[in-house]
Amino acid sequence: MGRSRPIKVAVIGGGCAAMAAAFELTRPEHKGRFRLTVYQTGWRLGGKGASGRGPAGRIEEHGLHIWLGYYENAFKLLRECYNELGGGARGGRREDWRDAFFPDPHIAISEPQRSGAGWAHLTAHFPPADGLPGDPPAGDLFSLRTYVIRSAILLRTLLVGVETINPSDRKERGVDELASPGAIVEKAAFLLRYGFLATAAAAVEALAVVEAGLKMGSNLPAGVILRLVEAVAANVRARIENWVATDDDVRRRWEIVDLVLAVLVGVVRFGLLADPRGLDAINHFDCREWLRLNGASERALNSAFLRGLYDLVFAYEGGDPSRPRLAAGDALRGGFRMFYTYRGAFFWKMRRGMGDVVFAPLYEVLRRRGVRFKFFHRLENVRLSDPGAEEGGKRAYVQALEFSVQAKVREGRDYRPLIAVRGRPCWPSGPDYAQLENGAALEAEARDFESHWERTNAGARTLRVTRDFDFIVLGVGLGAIPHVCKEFIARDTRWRKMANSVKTVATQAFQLWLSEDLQQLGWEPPPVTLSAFVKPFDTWSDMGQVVPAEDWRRPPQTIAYFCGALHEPDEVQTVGEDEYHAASREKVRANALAFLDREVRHLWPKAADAESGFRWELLVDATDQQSRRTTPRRRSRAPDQSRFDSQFWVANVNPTDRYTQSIPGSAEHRISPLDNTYDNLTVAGDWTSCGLNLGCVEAAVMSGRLAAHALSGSPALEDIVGYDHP
Amino acid sequence: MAGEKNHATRQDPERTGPKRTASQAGGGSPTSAGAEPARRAANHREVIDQAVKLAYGVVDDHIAQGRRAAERLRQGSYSSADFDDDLRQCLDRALRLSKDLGVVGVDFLDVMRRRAASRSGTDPSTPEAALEVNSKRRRAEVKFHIRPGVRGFNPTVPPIHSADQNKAPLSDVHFELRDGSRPVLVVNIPEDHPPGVYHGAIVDSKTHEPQGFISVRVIKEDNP
Repeated sequence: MGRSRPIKVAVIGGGCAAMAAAFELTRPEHKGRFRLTVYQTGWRLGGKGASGRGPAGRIEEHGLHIWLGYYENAFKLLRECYNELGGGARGGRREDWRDAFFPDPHIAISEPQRSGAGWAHLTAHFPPADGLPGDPPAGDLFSLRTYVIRSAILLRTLLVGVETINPSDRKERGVDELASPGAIVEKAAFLLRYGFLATAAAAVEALAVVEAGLKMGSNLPAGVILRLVEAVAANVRARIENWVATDDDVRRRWEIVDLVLAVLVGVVRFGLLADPRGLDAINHFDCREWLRLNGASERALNSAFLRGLYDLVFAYEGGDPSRPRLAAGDALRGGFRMFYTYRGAFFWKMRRGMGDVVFAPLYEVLRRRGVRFKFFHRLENVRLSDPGAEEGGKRAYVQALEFSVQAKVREGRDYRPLIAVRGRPCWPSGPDYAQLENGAALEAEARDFESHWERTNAGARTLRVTRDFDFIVLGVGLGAIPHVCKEFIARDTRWRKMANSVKTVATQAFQLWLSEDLQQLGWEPPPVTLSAFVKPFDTWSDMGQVVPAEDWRRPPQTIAYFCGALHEPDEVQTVGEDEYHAASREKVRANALAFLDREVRHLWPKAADAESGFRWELLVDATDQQSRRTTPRRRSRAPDQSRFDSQFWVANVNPTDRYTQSIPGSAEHRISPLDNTYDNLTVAGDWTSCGLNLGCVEAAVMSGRLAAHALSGSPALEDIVGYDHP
Repeated sequence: MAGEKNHATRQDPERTGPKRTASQAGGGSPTSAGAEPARRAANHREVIDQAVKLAYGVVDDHIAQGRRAAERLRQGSYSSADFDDDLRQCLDRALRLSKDLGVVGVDFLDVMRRRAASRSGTDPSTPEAALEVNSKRRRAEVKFHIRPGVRGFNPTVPPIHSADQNKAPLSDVHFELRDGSRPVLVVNIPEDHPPGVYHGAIVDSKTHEPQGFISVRVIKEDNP
């Protein structure tokens, strides 16, 4: 098609997927072939990764955002962005991506004590891995053969690296005392148990490794091999099962061994090494169900390890803890990538909010490249071509995009969304009303531009094909699809199945700014990200590293982020029931208060006790910082639960804020960005068929890169790291 | 609208889904078919070699741990009667399982390694020895293995022990060269030797390094 003018691309949404697509389509090598306009609801980019700045410049996030060391595409994008930005950030302070991220090798999981009193916390230290995420790919990383072999290596690491933190254990384990006969017997029994276990584990590892080798070309009947493996596994389990029940440390280690055993047996039993569908072949199973089929014990299936995996991806249908659902293939794929292909460190934490670290640099680079941004534009409908226009074999296409204009910028100017906090460009927690028409009135209304249920608008706008756009990147969250793609769902069975099968879940989160550090709170190990704790806030991460990026006169000692799935009614609330958002926020507040009073003492023994509850005076009130006082205001009464209102919490019930799940049987209904059914539209988001099919930044960026390929042929599919994966 | 009829369209992509085959690498071009078999064979053998070393190493460590623990117990003047049930069962299970898993696992690994080596055209290097069991009123099931790749060492078998300290070790187990070159493992069991499982190492008499292991189940003649 000869073309004398740039191809106009409407990018709808401002999350990771949409921004990745925009970054790819505006690469210098395209030589201006595409002209992009980004349409974004509200005042800020980021989608589910958005963050803002509140009082004292404190960072207020949509939830907990930690990048994993296997996020190859996401880190590649970010590193290229920082390289291009160079020292041009506002304030002229040059920043490398490694100034914005730091490696974190610690992860922790929690389990209830057998005695019923309290929780034990297990920390693991994952050793540094070669290279850095986003480096060029290094060899054949992504094969099941490699994963099976590395299972043996990881098993050893886990067996060595797992350490239980339990105050009573710590007292009992001390110097090896052989002064008494009882101690000698106990020590000998322990040595033999561990030796016994290590022997079993090593033998199983060896067998599993041979499994992989055999599948590469053996002419032995597969049934023989499978029976052997199963016989060994059954033998080991039968002998160890009752034994480990009496020894917590051996039990925990055995749970890991048990799960890895089940994975390896399952890989063989289901013929995954040779199945052209790879791990997708088992996606109709729930992960626990599949492991159980392959011999995992109930103890291992209910272990903290597996609970932590489900918690990490909010794998509870409807947010209901009694309905854990996670597709086995997607779980294994994510697990293999997470444990076996991380580079640098297992986790990479951000030193500021994700909006500041990721979306501010992206915004600045894209603006430099000529991308236009239209904030306060909410997509209402994607209008399809008339069916009559599709005769003669022509494809359907998008005829128009219908937007509500939530607010208008004064004098028709472009909205300038960023502010500076300590010299760094950031996104505020609310719009700059001074830039908006009727700004004072809007501010007085306190209109929530990001709420699905806020429908007061300043106008409307319809974009038409060819006149206003040639192509569309639909980068909205999955929750918006039923609202904005009604015509697709009505006319297209695939879209209907996708909307019904690929689920999202609401999440809840709160952040605390604390006047004491972790040790003073009673947490003695290193700062961690911890999961598998008590519901609804099963995940906690210490985020003290962002304190210097905030603007406190009297900084808090640390910051804690808590999050988890939010259990909500099965029916998503419809427009007009605007009290639902407020009611959800109140529910999260109540959940947080109860959690702090009753449960947080199991993490921070000095922050709360069973009788008097949480020490509310620990919470740092940012409004105290805004006065000229150099000491905290003396209050007339002791702080109570109302002090929590000075902190930050969210109920992510907006359709576009909901977390994308990987429910069994849903992956096959995802739609790929490469799908060309509507020949001027591609989709982008972690809810699409993007190769990884999990709710995470990496999946979103992969999807955005696929969307760019769909429109431009670039990047090559082979260059989307991890797209071609078993 | 007239403009719509000529709206921009995009080309069909080369494919609309990922390649999920198990050996597919992510990123980079697939390797040529010619290079694949040789690389696969090398990986296969390396993998099995490592697995065999793992299995031997841990079995050896396990035996050593057991002996150290047993020695401590002896120094404490404990007899088996003083052990609690857990410890006795623990020792019994540990040694039996080590034998079972070690033997089965390493057996299997050895077989696979020989198969892998023969497929890749190289000579397996596992030495072989015949077995001879001598006893008037005892039967025995004997399994023994020597590490593949080990050549030219002079094997010796120290006394092999049962988990039960009350049972005397089997001391008359040794290798002989018959007909000048054919090695034979000779296991002599006294006629009244207690039935049970006896487990031990095959050691290089010069370096004293373990180079294999042996397991003997002694069965009373009148038992099935």
